[in-house]
Amino acid sequence: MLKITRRAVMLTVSALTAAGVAFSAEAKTKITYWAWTEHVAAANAVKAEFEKQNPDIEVEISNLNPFDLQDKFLVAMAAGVGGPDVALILQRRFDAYIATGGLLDTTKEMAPLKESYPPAVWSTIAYDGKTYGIPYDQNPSAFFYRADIFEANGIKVPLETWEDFVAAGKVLAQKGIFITHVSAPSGVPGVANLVEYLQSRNAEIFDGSGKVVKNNALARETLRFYYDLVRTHKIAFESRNNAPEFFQAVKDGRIAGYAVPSWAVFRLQKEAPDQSGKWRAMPWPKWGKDAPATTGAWGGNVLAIPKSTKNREAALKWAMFIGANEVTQTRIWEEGHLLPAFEPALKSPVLAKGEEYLGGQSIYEAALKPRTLNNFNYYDWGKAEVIIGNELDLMFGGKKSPEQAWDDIEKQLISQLRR
Amino acid sequence: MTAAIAHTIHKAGHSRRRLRRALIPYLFLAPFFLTFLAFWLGPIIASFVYSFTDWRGVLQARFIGLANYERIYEDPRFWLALRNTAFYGLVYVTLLNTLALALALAIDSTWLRFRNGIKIGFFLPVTISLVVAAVMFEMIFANGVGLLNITLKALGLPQPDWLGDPKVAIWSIIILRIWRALGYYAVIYFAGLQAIPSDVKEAARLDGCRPWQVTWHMTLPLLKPVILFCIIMSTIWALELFDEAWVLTKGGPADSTLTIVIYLYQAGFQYIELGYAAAVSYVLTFLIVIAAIAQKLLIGREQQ
Repeated sequence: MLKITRRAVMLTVSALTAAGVAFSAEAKTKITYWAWTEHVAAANAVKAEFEKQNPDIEVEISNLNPFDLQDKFLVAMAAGVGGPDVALILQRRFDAYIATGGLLDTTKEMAPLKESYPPAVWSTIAYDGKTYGIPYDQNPSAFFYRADIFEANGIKVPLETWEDFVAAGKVLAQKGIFITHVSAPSGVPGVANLVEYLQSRNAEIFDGSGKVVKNNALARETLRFYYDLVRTHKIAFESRNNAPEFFQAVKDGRIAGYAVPSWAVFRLQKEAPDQSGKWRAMPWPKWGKDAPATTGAWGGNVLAIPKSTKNREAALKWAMFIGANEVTQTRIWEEGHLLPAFEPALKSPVLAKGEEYLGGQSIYEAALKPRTLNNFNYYDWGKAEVIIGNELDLMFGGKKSPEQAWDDIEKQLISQLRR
Repeated sequence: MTAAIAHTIHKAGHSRRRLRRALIPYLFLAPFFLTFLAFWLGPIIASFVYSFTDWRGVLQARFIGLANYERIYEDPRFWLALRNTAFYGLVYVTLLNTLALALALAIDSTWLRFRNGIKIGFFLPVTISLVVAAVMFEMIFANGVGLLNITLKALGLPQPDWLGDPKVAIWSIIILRIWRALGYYAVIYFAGLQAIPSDVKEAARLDGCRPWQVTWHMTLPLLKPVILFCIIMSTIWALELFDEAWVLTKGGPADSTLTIVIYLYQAGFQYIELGYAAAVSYVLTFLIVIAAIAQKLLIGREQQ
């Protein structure tokens, strides 16, 4: 019969402890990454390579709705538990997360890479001389158009200026075709549409210190132009953002253009597959013949790391791998046509590859490369979006002129944001 | 002496056993109360404390007294949200309960055929997820190309922009919400009707009452506790309106579908002003309690 001695027990305990230590030494650090659809696809595409390069780290990728993600990330930051190690945050909302004090300071890691990002992108992570998070993508705007409709109506491309654009729009309007789309009624989602125009014209709402630009003539003029596209010239199809009636009009060939970032190609492909080869891209029109060749954006995204992460080093490694790495950043273009924030990735031949839907044209070469993305300061954007969105609705609802609407936007931004 | 001690010991033992027996039910109830304490009472108290602070989620909260409540009072958007919610609540509660009661009476009647099919048909929307319902209704309400406007056009009627016109958007939310809730409330009313003894109605009929008189003078008065329950529950749901309005219109256009809960959500999750959002939630709770008490007093008193 087996006799259990004190010595045997001690030996067993020691052996188990040693095995435990050995096991924990070999155990991987598991980090979680929250993102959505196309970004999840991009992350999954490079995950294996990251884990090969970092055999001690395992990445778990969760696919969440972008707006749910922002909410859950905030709750997790407040609770200090249950959150991801890295999360993708909408660039225009990012300043609010910095203000919570819950994000990891990435100044040390990011400072050497400052020159690798466009200034407009870098400014979104910079705050009080420090940086938080890692830039991920930029969403510069281009103009997509139906080449067949343009040709049939004798419209020469590219449309160099907005003046040319309006003239072409009037030609199409005579045939009952709209040259573009404007988000009206706007609400919060439509504000990003207006920002494309404001940003491309360098019509900042806030100055660099976060103060509201007062008597902003440039912004007021831009809003007037935006309004006139719809109501005066009647050349823009108006609907809520992503409304069924918009896609129906695209399918029916009643819309011959779309002034948005490059992700539009996927959307058009999905909604109007039979129009493959008929669409093309051109650069965002300029605000005058001698005006700078600039564009705006529909807001990009930023990689955020909560301070509360227990895996600081591993989280940083992953975030740098997907945000500051040429190969990985190229994948986000392939998976979702999101222009990399990391500039070395822009030299990749992948970006010059032609699109079947665009008749073999490369969006980057044809429409994005010829334009520089202007800076745009986002401050308290959650509140600002509500104020601007409501004023746009009142303007398109016929309650205010664009000039009155802009004056009221300024007044409310100053009084409500105290900026 | 020994007998007295033995009696005392026996009595003490008996008391202990009695105490133990009395405590056992509480032991079984303990998991519920502990969960209630941790996940209900704790957050309720914590959010009340936070409502007096400028808490933004992570950094130390600073006590600011009644400033959040003063800000609520002074913010015109809050009052607009309150007006929208009150209008929505009044229309929704009235229409929903009228339709649900009418439907339940129809199902309870003998003249209606295919009752089970109708019951299933009306109850089905309750089981459909909001996301699916929202996608469906976005297509139904789509301006110009939606099913509703195509039908209205065929009938030669005006075709409003259901989600884009500030005057109409709230009605779109009401339609969706009633569509989703009608079956649920009809089932509750139907259960109430089934509980009314048939001999009471039979006696009324034998006394010469017409069917509408039986309904008006017998059925409805006997159904009052159920009506009260449904009105209070639907009012609470109305005051908490968020999902449908958020999914379809995000509170727009021009804040025409802004409700108190959307206002609260924006403060908490878009502006990340959690202390302020906590104060708004307390104002909302206060309003719900007032509405429930008022309804109980109005309908309850009449019932007595």
